[in-house]
Amino acid sequence: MYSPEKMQKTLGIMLLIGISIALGLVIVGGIFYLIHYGSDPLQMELLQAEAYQLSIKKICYSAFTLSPTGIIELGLLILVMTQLLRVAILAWFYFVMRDRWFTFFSGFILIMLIYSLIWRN
Amino acid sequence: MINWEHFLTIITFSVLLLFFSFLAGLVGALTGLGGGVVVIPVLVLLFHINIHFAMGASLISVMATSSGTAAAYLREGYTNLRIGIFLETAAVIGALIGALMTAMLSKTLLAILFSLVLFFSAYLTVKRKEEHEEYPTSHPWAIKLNLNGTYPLGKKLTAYYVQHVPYAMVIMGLAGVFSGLLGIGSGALKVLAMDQALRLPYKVATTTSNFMIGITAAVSAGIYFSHGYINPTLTFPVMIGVIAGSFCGAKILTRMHHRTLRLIFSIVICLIGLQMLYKAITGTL
Repeated sequence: MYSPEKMQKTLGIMLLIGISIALGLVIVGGIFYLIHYGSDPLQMELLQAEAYQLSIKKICYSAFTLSPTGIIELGLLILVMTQLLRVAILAWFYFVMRDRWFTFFSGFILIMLIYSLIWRN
Repeated sequence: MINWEHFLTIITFSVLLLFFSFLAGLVGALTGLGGGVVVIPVLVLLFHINIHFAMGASLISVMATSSGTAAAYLREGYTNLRIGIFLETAAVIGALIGALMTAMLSKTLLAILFSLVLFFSAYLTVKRKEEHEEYPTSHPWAIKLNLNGTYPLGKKLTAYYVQHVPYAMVIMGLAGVFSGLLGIGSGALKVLAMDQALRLPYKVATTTSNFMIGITAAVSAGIYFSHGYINPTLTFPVMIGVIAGSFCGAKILTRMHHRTLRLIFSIVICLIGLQMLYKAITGTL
């Protein structure tokens, strides 16, 4: 049987798993990056530049080539997806618990999130 | 002026950023505002990094604080998920209206108005003495939507009764409009809506705000990624530091008195207000 306590517990565990995967990838990518470039002088020109074009497709592709920045970007993407996941879990729970208003609220936020992540990319 | 950051190596820069991000995560977890409050000034003023990259890093830090604290605050029983989802809906609608109104309103005027709201909120936050308040009943909408809850006070769970739901909705709608127009986090107004309108215990307000800000930030993430504002080499120390800081913050919050938390929050939002006012006056919005 679903209960608010169970929902809270499941949500907490899912968030912890999501953030651990994201953090793990970012740490691994970060260490790789520092091993390769750590002793180089900081290139301020790059950090003051404007353009750094990126898309979800590009992130997935560069992560599979095992480039340090690719792995970090995949970790960041998972961090974003964790936010989406928490709304999705809530929407599902409210739906199962037949809570009409809250299924509607969380469903609305979920649709807006998916729309803004996909439409703008 | 000597730009000292030109003499840094990447590893020194990353370690420095890790340290500041830890502080950001700590402050973010305690105030419910996310780590951006510290991350943006450090990156822009100290390291002279492009504002867009700073905003991207700030967005990541907000999601990291939100995720880093969410599990702990849910387990402890502080976060009120129903209030979070309900108010987030109002904020999203406000943000949509804000995005549509961009062309119609003066950003400078809004920024001045917003900074005044922040100063006033700081005053109200410090002034409230929640331990002297007693509400035997709650607002009818709170009963209908089942928004009332309990939170840990000392060693036992204490019930609280939600007040003035429509006021909170208006504040959240405005928070959305402000963030849609000014592109800044509306965390301060989220805490304000819950503390001043709903009359929630302060720790419930900040932890619920922490849960919500990650969702709000994710709404903007798509556009930040596609514009290239999220620079991985800059963001990785930020994310690691912020998560570590927010884990520690979540541990400390349970032991802190709400008056101390109120004071920290008020100082931080006054600083944001000053930053906003400075931007409005110098025309760098």
